[in-house]
Amino acid sequence: MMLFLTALAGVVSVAHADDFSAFLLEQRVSGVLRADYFRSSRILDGRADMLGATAQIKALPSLGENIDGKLELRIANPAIGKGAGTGSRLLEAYATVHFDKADLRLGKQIVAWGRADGINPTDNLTPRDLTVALPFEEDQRFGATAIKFDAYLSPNHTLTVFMTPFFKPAKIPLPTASRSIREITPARTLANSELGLKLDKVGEGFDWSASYFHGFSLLPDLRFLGGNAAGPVLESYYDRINVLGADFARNFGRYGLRGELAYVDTRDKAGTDPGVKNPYLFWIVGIDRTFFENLNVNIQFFQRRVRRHHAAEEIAEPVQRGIALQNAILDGQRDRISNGISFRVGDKWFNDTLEAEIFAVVNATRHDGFIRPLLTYAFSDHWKGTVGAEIYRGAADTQFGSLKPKRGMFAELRYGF
Amino acid sequence: MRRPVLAAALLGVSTLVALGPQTAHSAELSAHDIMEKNFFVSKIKSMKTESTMVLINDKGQQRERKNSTLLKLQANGIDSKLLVKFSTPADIKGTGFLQVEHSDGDDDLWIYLPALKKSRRLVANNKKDSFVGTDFSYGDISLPKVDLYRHALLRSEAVDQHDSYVIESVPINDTVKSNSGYSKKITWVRKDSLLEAKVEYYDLSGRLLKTQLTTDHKLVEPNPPRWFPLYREMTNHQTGHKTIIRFDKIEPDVPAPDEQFTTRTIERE
Repeated sequence: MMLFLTALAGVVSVAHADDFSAFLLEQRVSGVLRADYFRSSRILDGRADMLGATAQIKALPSLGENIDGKLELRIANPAIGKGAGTGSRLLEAYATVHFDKADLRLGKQIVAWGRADGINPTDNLTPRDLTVALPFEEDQRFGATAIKFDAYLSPNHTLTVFMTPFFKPAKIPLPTASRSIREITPARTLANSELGLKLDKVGEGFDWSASYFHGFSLLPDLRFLGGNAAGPVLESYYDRINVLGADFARNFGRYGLRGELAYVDTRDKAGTDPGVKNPYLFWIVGIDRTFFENLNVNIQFFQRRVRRHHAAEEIAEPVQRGIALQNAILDGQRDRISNGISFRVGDKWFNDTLEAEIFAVVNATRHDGFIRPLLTYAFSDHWKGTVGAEIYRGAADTQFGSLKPKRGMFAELRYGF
Repeated sequence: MRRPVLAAALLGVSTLVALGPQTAHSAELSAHDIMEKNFFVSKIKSMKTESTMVLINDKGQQRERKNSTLLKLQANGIDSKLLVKFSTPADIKGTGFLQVEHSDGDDDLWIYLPALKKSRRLVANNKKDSFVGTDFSYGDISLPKVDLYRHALLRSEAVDQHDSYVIESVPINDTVKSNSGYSKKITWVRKDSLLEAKVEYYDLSGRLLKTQLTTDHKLVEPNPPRWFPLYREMTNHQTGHKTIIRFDKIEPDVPAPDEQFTTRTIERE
């Protein structure tokens, strides 16, 4: 920790030099250096007291009169001294061509859809890394190489076309026993291209969108390939999905109403294949309001309705039953209908130098849940400190209960430049 | 995280507020007339600005935000559209804010946070809410309707060597009082520009809460005259915190098509 802070201080002193600051400004370069502590490993491997260091740099160069670009790179070692190596990830690297009434973006990019808060049934285009050892939800996102075309039909209406032959799956924490399972990702071919279409309207008091996505599920499913002397042979793979979606946001005085809905169609229309998700409807609706000066409260109700649902427990064959159960936990398909509530409350004090937030999700059907309190203090424009915790509740065969090994407190010190 | 970085907007909105006066100088002007002229003197047709906002706590520690804004007066001559983009510090760089005012209803507000990768519609603000962590409230920077207050001319006196009307404004009812967070305001309106040079804000218990000073008044549109203060300072006497807004560059009468005031613009990092 001390070594890293010393290194940070060195960079800081450079960053404070006038010449260097002028260079960063001119090149539209910014970045952040972070030292993080997590009580529990993010990848369910049972390790504790993880100390990590991250450097993230972003550049927004102008590539011409109507062309600009973005490059964002993260270099991190999430567990210094515990065998984890230093790795890098290009989060985004793209160029955008701006036309009079359209934008064309090419390259590795993050595309986030959905107007609900934190839980977005229509957000199926680009992945998240749920194992990343950083404290904020937005740290999980990373890009997929794609083409995105936005046509501005009017000041209020936008038609978006998204296309990529380069599917990129989410990275999820897996129990140690599952790690030897072979992962199959779709071949990078035109035939395996993903396509997203969205018509979006903003303004005049009511924002909404309608969307369609033809692509692959970002989350894997397990399937049984057969058996050999060593036991059952499994693989994880990403199946085709077709998603019809819609969302909206509207204010009623001091209340904001938001909603989002997706119907996800899969190959298993009869609901008989335990290795394939069943088609399902996933919707969420909620309100938010600010009380006093900065106390913001957001409450959402969500429901998942699975078509042709068959309980995994009813499968007689043990291997198939185990696979079906694991898939159902991951996909939120343990029950034909499952209901839940999310809750986010945040406040700020001392002219926004101190911020607190609590985000919680409760699955009412299986009584599992998750709560994450966060407290952030800005020591200055450059230095910020965050402390928080992730707490998971529920039985081991539930969505959040299965993540209990991840629970624990965390802390971060960051320097932005 | 929900409603954080609108700070830039402050600058922009303060732009709205600060814009100068009509011709005045009539000795017969009532307090209400003066405040009405003060209201309209800040309604600039269109303007681009670059500004620096400095937040200073009671220990003298400073935080600084820089932003650029584009504003446009809507056809009704009262409401404005405002775009704000923050350029520093690093943690809010790229944050965009779009406000479309509706004097007959709730404003449309969107914020774009680069980390979230999408614009988010905000709940219409409460006039007494702090504007992005500054000492200005939304009601301080986007002036309320003149008819919502009873105005009384107290006296004339000089502020910063400029002869000014001193006007006391009291909310017409408890709702206005509660929404604004003030039991009264005392405004020093300069007789030459009809722009406010100083405003004192009193909390609901009648104690002095904040004082705003504006200087460097600039005539940005000659006919009708519209003024803009290049410097604003708001001091909260109860916390010792202060916010300074310096307009480093202003460019009035710029092209401002409606297509500019969209989420497309604020999402462009």
